[in-house]
Amino acid sequence: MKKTRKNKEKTTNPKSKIPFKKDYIIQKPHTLFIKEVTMAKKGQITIPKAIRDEDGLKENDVFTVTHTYGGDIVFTVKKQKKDPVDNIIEMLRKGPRINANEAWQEILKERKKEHR
Amino acid sequence: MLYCADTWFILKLFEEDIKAIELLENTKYGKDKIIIPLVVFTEGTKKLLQKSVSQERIDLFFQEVEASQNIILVYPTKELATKTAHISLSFSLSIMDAFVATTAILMNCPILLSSDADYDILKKKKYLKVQSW
Repeated sequence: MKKTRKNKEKTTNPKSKIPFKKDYIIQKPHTLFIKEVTMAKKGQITIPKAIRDEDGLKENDVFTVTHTYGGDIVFTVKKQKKDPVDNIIEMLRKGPRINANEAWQEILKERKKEHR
Repeated sequence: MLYCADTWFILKLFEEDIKAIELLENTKYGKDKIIIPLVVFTEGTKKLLQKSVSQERIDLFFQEVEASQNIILVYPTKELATKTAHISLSFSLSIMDAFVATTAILMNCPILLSSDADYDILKKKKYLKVQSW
């Protein structure tokens, strides 16, 4: 007995036709973290290490402090200082490549010449 | 792991060698640390300029190296200079080779990133491990 193809329209989920929106994707949920911190002199507050590590927060990162109508104080990361290693890699990838082996052979010759 | 970079490693970075970049990336998370002797900075700059790499890119590279916490530029000291002379004489190494090797030894750095066969004698005497690819 021959198998008959099912009508595609019947099996298609109508929800799948909803356009894909990137904004709805939560890439990595953050861990809920609650800890009491004490304000030091001059209003300084330490962000707990666990949060700094999870979000890669570093010295000189800039925050926006919002005092909401509800009375909450919210710190939002405005600008995270890029790691120097990332800057190096970005710079290396932008420019033209050199032939390392050729350059290295030249250096070895120069070193030997100076040694004589 | 602590690594000492010879000029070979700097050249490999400017070639965008995958392993070299991977090793550099590892320093970001503190998994590895790299020390760069100042003579490598001199020799590397000279060779990169000869290979038409702009001074601006070289400056940016070393500026970021100095800003990094896990890549350390090692400046020569009197102790380093004296020990370099001794190692150069003892193992018949060029001043440049001896400077790099002595920096690694004095900084207790077990691995030297280089593909210079002249370091073989130090490898045999178990002063250093030399790594290249």
